[in-house]
Amino acid sequence: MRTRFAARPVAPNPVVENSLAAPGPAPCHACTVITHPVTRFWAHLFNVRYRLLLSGLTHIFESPDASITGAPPTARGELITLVFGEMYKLRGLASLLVELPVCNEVPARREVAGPTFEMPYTLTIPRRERDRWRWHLDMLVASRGILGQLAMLDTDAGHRGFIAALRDGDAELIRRIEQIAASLDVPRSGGTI
Amino acid sequence: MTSLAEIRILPPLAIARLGSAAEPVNNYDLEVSADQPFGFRAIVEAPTLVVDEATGAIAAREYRPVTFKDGDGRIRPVAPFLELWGRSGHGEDDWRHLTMHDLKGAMIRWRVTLGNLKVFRHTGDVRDQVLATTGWFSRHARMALEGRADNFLAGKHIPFGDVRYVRPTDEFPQIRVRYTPGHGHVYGADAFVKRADGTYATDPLGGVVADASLRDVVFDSSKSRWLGFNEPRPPNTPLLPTITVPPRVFAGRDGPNDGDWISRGYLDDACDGVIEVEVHTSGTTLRSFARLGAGPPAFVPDSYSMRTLSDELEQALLGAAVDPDQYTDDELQAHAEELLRRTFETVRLMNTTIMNGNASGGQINVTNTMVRMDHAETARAWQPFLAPAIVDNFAVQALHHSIFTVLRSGASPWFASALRQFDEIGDLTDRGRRKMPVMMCGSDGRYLCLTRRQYEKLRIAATRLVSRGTTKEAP
Repeated sequence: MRTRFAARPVAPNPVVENSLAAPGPAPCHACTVITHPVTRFWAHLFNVRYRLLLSGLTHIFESPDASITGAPPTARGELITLVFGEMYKLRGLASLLVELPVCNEVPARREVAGPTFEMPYTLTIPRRERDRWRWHLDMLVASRGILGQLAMLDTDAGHRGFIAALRDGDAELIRRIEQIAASLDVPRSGGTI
Repeated sequence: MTSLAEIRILPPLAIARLGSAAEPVNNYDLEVSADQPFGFRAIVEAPTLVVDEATGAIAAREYRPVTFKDGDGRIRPVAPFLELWGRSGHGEDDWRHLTMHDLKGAMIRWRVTLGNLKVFRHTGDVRDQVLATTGWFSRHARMALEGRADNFLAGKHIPFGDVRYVRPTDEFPQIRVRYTPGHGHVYGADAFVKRADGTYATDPLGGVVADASLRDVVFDSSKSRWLGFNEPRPPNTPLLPTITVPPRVFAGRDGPNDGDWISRGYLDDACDGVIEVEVHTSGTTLRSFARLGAGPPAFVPDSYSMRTLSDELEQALLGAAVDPDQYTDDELQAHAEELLRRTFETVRLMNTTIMNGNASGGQINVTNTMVRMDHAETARAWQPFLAPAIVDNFAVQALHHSIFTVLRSGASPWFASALRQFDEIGDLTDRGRRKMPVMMCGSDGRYLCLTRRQYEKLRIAATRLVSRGTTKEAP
């Protein structure tokens, strides 16, 4: 019979990689590096999606507000939807991470990982609008690669259903962003730049 | 004959779907793709009973391709089978599908009574009730159901389809009947004139020039008030208690006075009623009945609405309250997922930009929406539900996909508070109008909500699944 706890045994400040702390003079003792071969991919995915959320938010603040009555849906609206969607997905990933082990040596009933919320190396937004959308697209492509890894590594049936939903949703999202990015491309003519 | 304590016709409610093709739709299941959970449900062939037209017996039980129209573009009807079940004892596990061997020596007879009371619903004239009955029968031929009304022209009827007692055989000895519905035609009143090409023309009310879809004229306007019947809804006047909600649910046109709605005299061959069965033996007679109906075809057979008749029946049968011990965690999670799936399937069919009340081509109020209903019925200020910038259909779908994705992670359905409850359907505040399902109307003309039982299951899922407490082993 398992013991039921009031709270999950979440590791302090879980991170995928502690490279920032390692060479410095003041190591980050509070960090817990996730080394479990499956969990670390989920955590890495969390970080990429978190970066997508932050980039989307940054992009929104650079986009004009056209949300007046009678206005048609706008790219800003798409961004708002993207950001809310990513918040939901982070919720799902966080729910999963608080049930997965940090490492092979310690079982999940003793210690689990958790949402990593690692800040990306930059939040500087590209200057051109089409590049901003490609920026989001790059993160979705990166996410697709991690999901591909997880599809191979994670054998849990429930997790595989989650992976399938993420992949299916991302495929549509990528298609939409490609459409938006394409609509912003400047037509080339006459061989001049 | 096997001694029986009681009998049942199962299913107790069967809904046929109108269609004029000779062959009904073959049996199928709907399956969700494991790899593409946001795709359309796959229509998968399921075993189909093939009835021999000449003998009325089942000739085969086989997998057949599923199509919804025949080669001539005619819609295939959905023709349900109804089975006779019985039990000797009183245990729930004693029920079984009866065969001719079980009922050897007994006399089995059936009777089907169907009606279309739509016109009567408006005029209140019992002579406008269109009724059909087979009378009692035991034969295996098709028994026609001819809908007749006292106010019809002499000799005229509306075909409601037919019912057939399927001949049991050694290979297929089970007792069953099959109902094949009408063709889905429209009928009119005698003011229409049939032209040489077979079409009808000349509506004396002045609105219809020609109507190629009219199948026949049936109402005798010297007796029936249906053609030209006015169901007025004068502005700033309380609705009559007899009027339908929403009003104007029949083909009509404006009249001379503000609020007039004048019938063009149409009626269709949708119908509903009962099928009865009696099993007579030397000493006893066992009886049962089931309900039967025929409605429009399912034009989106691979999607479900958020709230279906099945949900209504479940609530009627089991109640609005839910015993938490009645469902496992997995069942509750599956319920939440199915609800989300139905939601994005519904969104997929909507023009969310217009339904939100956004402008189209610079014009607002371009079609019938709940925004218009609020504005017209309660004089509420014209106001879209959600910010116009965020209601692009793909964006709304994507948002629902994201929520579904979260559920797939095993997270609890946290969104119960965002759902409209049954006593909030008339809440016209900004917050009330934005509750889910948004933009949609229920059968009572106000905002759609889930059944109380659907809501309860979600609420219990939200409270139980979030506190499961145990942790998983490593994958």
